[in-house]
Order: sequence, then structure tokens, then C-alpha cells
Amino acid sequence: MKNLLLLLLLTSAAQPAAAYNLSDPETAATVLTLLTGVAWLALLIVPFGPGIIELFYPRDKMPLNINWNFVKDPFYFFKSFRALMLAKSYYFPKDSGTVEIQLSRPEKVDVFRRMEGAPEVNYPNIVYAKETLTCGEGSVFVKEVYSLGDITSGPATVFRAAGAEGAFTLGAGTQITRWAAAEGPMLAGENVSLGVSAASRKSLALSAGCSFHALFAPEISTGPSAADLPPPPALPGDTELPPCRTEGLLVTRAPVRLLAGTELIGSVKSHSSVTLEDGVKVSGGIFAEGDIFVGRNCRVAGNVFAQGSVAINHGTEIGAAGGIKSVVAKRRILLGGGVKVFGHISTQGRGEVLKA
Amino acid sequence: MVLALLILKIYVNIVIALMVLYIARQFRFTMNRMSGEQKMYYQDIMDSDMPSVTVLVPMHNEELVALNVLERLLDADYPKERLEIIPINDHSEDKTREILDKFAAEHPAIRPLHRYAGRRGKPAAINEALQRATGEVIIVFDADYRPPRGILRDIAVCFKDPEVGAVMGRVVPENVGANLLTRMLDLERSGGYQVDQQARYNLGLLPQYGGTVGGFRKSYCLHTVDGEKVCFDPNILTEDTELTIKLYLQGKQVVYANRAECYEEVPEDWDVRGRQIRRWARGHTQVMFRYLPQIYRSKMLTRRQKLDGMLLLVLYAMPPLFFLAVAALMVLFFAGEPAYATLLPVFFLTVAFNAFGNFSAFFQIGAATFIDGSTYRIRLLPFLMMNVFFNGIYISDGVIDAALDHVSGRATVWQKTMRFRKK
Amino acid sequence: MTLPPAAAKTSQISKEKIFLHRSYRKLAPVTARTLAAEGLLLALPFVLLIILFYPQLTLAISRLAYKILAIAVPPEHLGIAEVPSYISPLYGLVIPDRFPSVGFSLAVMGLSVLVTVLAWGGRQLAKPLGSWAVFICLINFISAAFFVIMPEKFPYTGSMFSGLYLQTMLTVWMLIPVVLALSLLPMPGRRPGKFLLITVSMAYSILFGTVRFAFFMLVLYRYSLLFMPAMIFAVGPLLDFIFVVGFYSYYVSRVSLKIQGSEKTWYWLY
Repeated sequence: MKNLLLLLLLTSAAQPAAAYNLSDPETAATVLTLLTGVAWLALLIVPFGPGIIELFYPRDKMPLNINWNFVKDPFYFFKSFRALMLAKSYYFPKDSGTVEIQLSRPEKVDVFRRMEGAPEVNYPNIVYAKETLTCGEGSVFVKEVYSLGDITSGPATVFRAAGAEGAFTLGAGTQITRWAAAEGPMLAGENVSLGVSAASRKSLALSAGCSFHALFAPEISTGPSAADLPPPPALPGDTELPPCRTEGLLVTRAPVRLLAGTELIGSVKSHSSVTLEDGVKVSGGIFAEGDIFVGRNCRVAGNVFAQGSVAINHGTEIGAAGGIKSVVAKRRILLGGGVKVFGHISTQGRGEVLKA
Repeated sequence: MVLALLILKIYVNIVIALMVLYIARQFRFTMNRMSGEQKMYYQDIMDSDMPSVTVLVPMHNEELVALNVLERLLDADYPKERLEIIPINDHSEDKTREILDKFAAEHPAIRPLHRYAGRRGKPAAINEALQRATGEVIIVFDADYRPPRGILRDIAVCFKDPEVGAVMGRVVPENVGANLLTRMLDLERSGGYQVDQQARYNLGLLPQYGGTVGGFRKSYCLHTVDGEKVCFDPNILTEDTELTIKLYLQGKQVVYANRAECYEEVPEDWDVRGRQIRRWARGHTQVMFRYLPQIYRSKMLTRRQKLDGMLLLVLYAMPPLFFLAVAALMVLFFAGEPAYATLLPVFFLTVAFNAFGNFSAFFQIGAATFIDGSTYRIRLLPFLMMNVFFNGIYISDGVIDAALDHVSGRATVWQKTMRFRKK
Repeated sequence: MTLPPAAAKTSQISKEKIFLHRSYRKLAPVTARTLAAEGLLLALPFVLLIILFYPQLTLAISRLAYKILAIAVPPEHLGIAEVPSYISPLYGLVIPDRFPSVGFSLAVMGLSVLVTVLAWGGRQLAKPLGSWAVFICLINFISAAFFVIMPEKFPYTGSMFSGLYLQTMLTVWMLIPVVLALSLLPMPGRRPGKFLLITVSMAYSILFGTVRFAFFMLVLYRYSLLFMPAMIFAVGPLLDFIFVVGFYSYYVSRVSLKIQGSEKTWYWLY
């Protein structure tokens, strides 16, 4: 800016001294040029105004927040809540009662030794059971529930979130809004909705009609009464692997179909869909940009990962006992009856156990 | 004379068409990122059998930052029996060696490599480290990065997919508030990762491996040169771009992990920034000379991927092409060509260049910062206009360097970006 | 694969649900038809207005510039004339031509070199601005050299430049709504707000273009035709998009502030 003004002044200074007189056209033109130039520059700078304010009086200059300690932990919410409860339990009554504690805001906690709730009662406070918790049909728990023992819910109970140090049995039609976790086995009755996340350190058994987003347990299984899906029809463009024992990685753009009885020592990846007919064995993982259909009584030792949907039919096992493998689908996961997944199931859409 | 002017006009129109193509591409990416279906990354996979990983951290005079990165890597949530960390002391003259030896003495997982012979530079250092790396997956961090606990797992898990050859995470500037330059670079990074990389991943195009906060599968990348297994050509300054292209030409994929975020330090000094982009432009252009025809002829890529790959490689050539177009237009101007032949193309050209000139179109950066949840920093967007000629000059220098490299076959000398973190 | 019908996915992440990371946030899907309709709705009115009323607009601009210049320029040196354009003629300013003397041209050449050296070796913040200065100086250097070597071959007069400038500005004013409409399409936000943004940008562009027009004509009149190339290649239409980006960025930051903490805006993955 200084240089520009200097330039303009120098050029006008090249005029004879007597010309510093505004009635002189040249001087007048010089001054007018300067003035319009300044006006133009001002108009040029105005759009920078909000940015200049932000530069000198910053309100948004912190780096984007990255959670240093974030790791994938299916028990994260349970652990956090448990830690909070145990830290505050010093203030809880010895037997039962209601106490107010400070969490992110003041919260009331109903403490029970053993809770055996009547049907269709609304529980507006956090519930803390020192032994077991049993609730009646149609109960609604507006806040979190925590039990140092087992939790057994009646049909059509609604939990915002619940964690048990023992076993967790969910009656038919129970709804979990956020998360459910148990150190012991978890058993979900028919048509249970398992919220955002359900996890057990021992096992998770699902009945027909259960719905979920994310599940975790060393063994996740569905009951025998769930239905099956027919396999998608074969199409002319499919890459087919005939029934044989073969070794290698199968990567293709076309849809892949492993015919009944095939044994593949390796992994499969398709830019379209993957279909496993009945009785197929795969020692590695299955990856698809589209959908994955796994037929009856298949054995897949690795992970199953689809950008589309995954359907797993009767009697199939994913992973093996003692290890953790995953079934992950962006849109949907459908599980038939007698399915076992050793580890983790996750979908950004909706997961369900098919009803007969 | 008439023929010469005609050639100039044709040239200008070709450059305009290219720039319009880039804008259309960036618009497509922006729309896809904002409203289109996003492709899921693999981070939701939980697997007890994770691949063995070697983390490489090239270091040259990194006494200011070595401690931070190694401490963070040791704290990583990854099976310790499957993790190896090789910090590469590359001809350091400060206390880097002592710091690494102290860590190695206390932590068996850290096995430093001290290099005081052989060619200096990141590609050569990584090549040498790969001779001793035991991991199936190689993850690289620059020394000034601060990896969060879960990032190794997030990066490594994608290699369960047999087609994946490399993965790139998201780089987030940490020293955003230092000065205007860092704030502008923060905006550029947002546009480049949150929109550009993610959209290319969504659309099945060519997301890039960026050489840090990323990893590659050793078995797909190693090849034998003079009896030695190497991954990178030490003459190519952007070994990451070369690896990206090589993987795609082999029929493998590079995936982008938007969730795998890591802090980095961006240059706080304009001269340092200029040298950085000059190096990037030179390396990128070296890769272009070597691989552009191969991309065109490849049977492994779809047509859309070929187009995206070629546009990716030609990217750094655009500023010098733009300057040449301006020069051509000036010739046309002084030659008295009719107005439509000069002014209108100038306008379209400058419109296009405005949109393109900062590696991300302004609407791409706006969309990215919006998705990030940023608010007031978006108002700094107009300042990116200041970079138009600054970037253009250094990029053009880099492209000329690459052209001379190509013609003369000379060896390149690695230049490290200066660090700004205070002790 | 034939699946039982799934429930439709809604935009709401329920208040009861856990808030999800920015990495796969997105907005509601839109169809190409909706996009095209919105784009047309936002851009077309302005484009049509310019096409229909540009003769009157350029006449008003030239008259205003005339009045400004008339403060210092003798009226016998000024005029307004018709210039052939796309459909109807537009109106440009007529000024006498001033050719630079050899001494003046050489002085400009010397000054350009000096400013280049100073600008490029300058302090940190001046670096990017310095690169602009270097570009402007380069153009001025070339132009000055031209006027030293073959001034008689310079193909344009000041009056021709005014017609060319206004013709260029017409193209800018037709493109600004298109560029803005395209940039705003991905953004959430109501159409009246977007329309207002384009209106403000257009009004500002016309004001900006008018003041710059007067300034350029004054420079050509007072300091010679030497500076014409810089007006076209350096500080001409290249700068028009600064305020387009400025207004756009302000709008986007306002929308971002408005939706802070609101989960209703975001979808996840698809």
C-alpha cells in the first residue's frame, strides 16, 4: 500500500512545482485518481472485513478436536457409567432410598437392594440395584439402570440404557434406546430392540424379530425359530467358483458366487456382490462393495464386510470360538436362525433377526 | 504470424477447458461429499487377529519432536506382540540419536535405525528400514505428528481386505492459530481431506496415499532393484504419489480413512511453505512424467479412474500452464486481436483459476469446514486469493525442476520441512 | 438379493441416540432435478435481468463515471458512445488517449524492477501480497517496454478499452449468479437467504465495477495507456471473485453457527 501511494506521489511530484494547484487539470486529475483509487481499494478490502476481524479477534482458531484416547470399545458407555456410579456410591444409602448426586447436572438416583418392580411404572430417576433388578411388564426407565447383579425385564419394558454385572434377560418387546451391557450372558426375547449398542462379556442370544445396530459378545447367536432368506438368483455376469477346494485371493469387479460345497482357502473381494451358497467354507474374509449373502451352514473364518447389506442364513458361523471377528454392513444386516457370530456385528442401518 | 496467433488461441482455449474440467470435478466431489452416499471405512471391524505392523518414523534432526511421537506410539492401542517401531535416524546432527537410543534401551518394541552412510532422504531411509521391518503392514508417521491411541488399529484393519494396498488417514493441523499462513493451510487441508479424498474414495476413484498417517502392505510394494528389495525410488521426491499410482496400476486399491485423524504441524513461515510446495510440485511432476502414459494404457483401471488419475498427476502442471496462457493472452492483446479473443477468455480463465488455484475450489473448502462444524474460520476464505501467485510461482519452479530432472536424469537432493514446535 | 422391506431412514438422529463423529456426516440426499431447479431459480433471474437491461445499466455506469471524471477532466475531452455488444449496444466512455513518453516508460520499467526486488525480499506477511505485486510489475514492465519499442503499434484506445471493460463486466455479472448458485447448492439454508446473498453480491459487484471503471479511466487519462494491460490481466476480472468468495464465506459461517448443536441437519453415511 505504501509503495503504491509512493508511486503515485512520485509521478505527480514529477510535475512542475507550480502545478500543485487543484485548479490545474493535471493536478486535479491526479488527486481524483488517488481518491477513486482509495475508494476502489476500500471496496476491495470490505469483503475481507469479517475475515480480518476473525484474524485479529479469533473466535475459531483451535485445531479440530481429536480424542487422543479414543479406541473402539463396545463397553465404553457401560464402563463410563459404571465408573461414575461406583465413584458416587459412597453417598448411596446402605439399603434403599433416593439420593441426589452431581453428574454433568444434578441427578437423582433410586437405590435398591433388590428391585422387583410392578408393571407399567415410570421410573424417572437413575436406578441402582445392589443385588438384582426385576421389572414388570411395560415399565419405562427414563434414565440409566445399573445392577450389581442380574437384570430381568418384563415384556415391553423400555430402558434408556442399562448395565448389569451379572446376566441380562430382556423380555419380549423390550426396547433399549441407547446401550445395554452385561458382564454375564445376555438373552433377548422376541422383538427386542437393542438400541445403539449391546454388549456382553459372555454371550448374546437373540430371538426372532430382534433389531440392533451394534452387538458384541464372544458368541452372538440367534435362536432356531428365525426365518431364512432364499439366495439371490445367479446372473450371467457372475464370477462363479465351482465346488472344489481352492487356495488364493479372489478379487473381482463382477458379482461373485461361491457354489454350494466350495472351500476357499483365502479371502474374497468383489466390487459388486458376493453370494455364498449352502455349505461353503471360507478361511479368510468376505468383502463387497455391494451386498453379501451367506447361505445355510457356511463357515467363514474371517470378517464379513459390505458397503451394502449382509444376510446370513441358517446355521452359518462367522469366526471361531476364542477369537473375535466381525460382520459389518453399511445398510442392513439380516440374520437367520441358528447363526453364530464370534465377536462383533455392526450396521449403520438396521440389523434384524428374521421372523418366521 | 496468423498461424502463431491461432496456435496461441488454441492453447488458451485448451487451458480454459482443462480448468473448467477441474472445477466440474471439484463440484462433483463437493456435491458427493455433502449429499451423496459415503463409503464406509473399515474401522468398525473388530478382529483379534490383527496384522503385524512396523511403524516407521523418519527423522532428521528431530530432537524437538522425537519424544512426543515415540511416547504416543508406545501408548497406542495395538497388540504389543504385533507391533514394531523403527525410528529412522537419517544423518541427524543433533541429539536425535541419543534420544532414540534411550528409548530403545527402555522399550524393546523400539528398534532404531541409524543412517550415516548412503543417500539422505525419506524414500532412501524407508527403503533401508524395510530391509529389517518384520511387519506385514508398514505405517509411516512423520516425526512431528502426534498419533492418537486408536490410530494404528484404525489404519491397520483395512488390510484385512485383500485388495487394499495402502491407506491414508486425515491430517489435521495443530498449530492452526499461529498466524495467517497456518490458518489458510488449515482451510486447505480441510478441503483436501474432508471433501476431496473422501469423495474420491466414495466414487471409486483414486484417493491418494500421502506418505504419513497412512500405511501400505509391504508385500504389494516391494520390488527388487540391484538385488535389493526396495519400495521407493529415491529420486522421486513424492514417493507417496508414486506408490499410489503403482498400486493402482497393479490392480490394488488405496483407501481413505476419514476417521483416522492425526495432528500435524504446518509451516508457519512463507519461505518454508514455498519450499514445501516446490518440492511437492517437483515430485508430483516427476511421477507424472513417469506414469501418465501408463495410466492411460492401464487395463486395471476403469475409464473414470484413468481420467481421475491423469487429472491428479497433471494438477501441479496447471499453474505454469496458467502463466503460459496469460503470456499467450498478452501476446494476443498486443497483437490487437479482437476483443472476444482476448478479454472473454481472460475472464473465463481467471474465473476458473480463482476457483482452482489453491488446490481446492473455494466451495470445496467451504463445504469441508461446514461439515467439520467450523464457524468463524470459514470467513478467512477470501484470504486464499492471496496465495494465487505465491503458490503459482513456487509450483512453477517445482515443475521446471522436474522437467530438468527428466531431461538431464540428475539425482534429487532431499529437503526436509522445517519444524516449528517449541521445546 | 430380495430383502423384506426395511423401514425408511429418517434424517433425525434421535435425541436419545449417541452423537456421531464428523467423519461421515452428510446432508440429506438431493435429486439432480431438485438441484437443477434450485440452480435455475437462484441464477436465472439475475442473468435475465442483466441480458434485458444491460444497455441501461452500462449507460448509468458510464454517466456516473462521466460525472466523476468531469470533476477534473475538461468536458470537451469526455463523451459517452455506443459500443456494439451481444444483442443491443452498450454505452462506454470516450476519453482522449495519452501515450507515455519514453522517459515515463523507462521510469515505469525501473520502478517495476525495484518494486519486484523489494516485494520478493519482503517480510513474511508481504510475501503473498508481494507475489501479486511482482505479477503486476511484470505486466507493467512488458507494457512499458512495448511503448518504448513500438508505441505506434498499440492496438487499443482508451475509448475502446471502456467498451471492452464493460463487455467483460457484463460477462462477470452473468457469471456471478451462476457461480454463487452452484456454490450454494450443496449448502443447507433457505432459498430466500441464498437469493439475498446473490442479490447483495450482484449489487456489490456493480458498485465495485463502477468505481473501478472510473478509476481505470482516470488512470488511462492521467497516466497513459501504458497501464491498460495490468488493468485487464492483473487487477481486472481476476479480483471480482474476491468479494464473491467473501460473501459466500460469511453466509456459510452464519449457517454453520445456526446449526451448531443441532442434530437434525445431519445424516450419517447415506
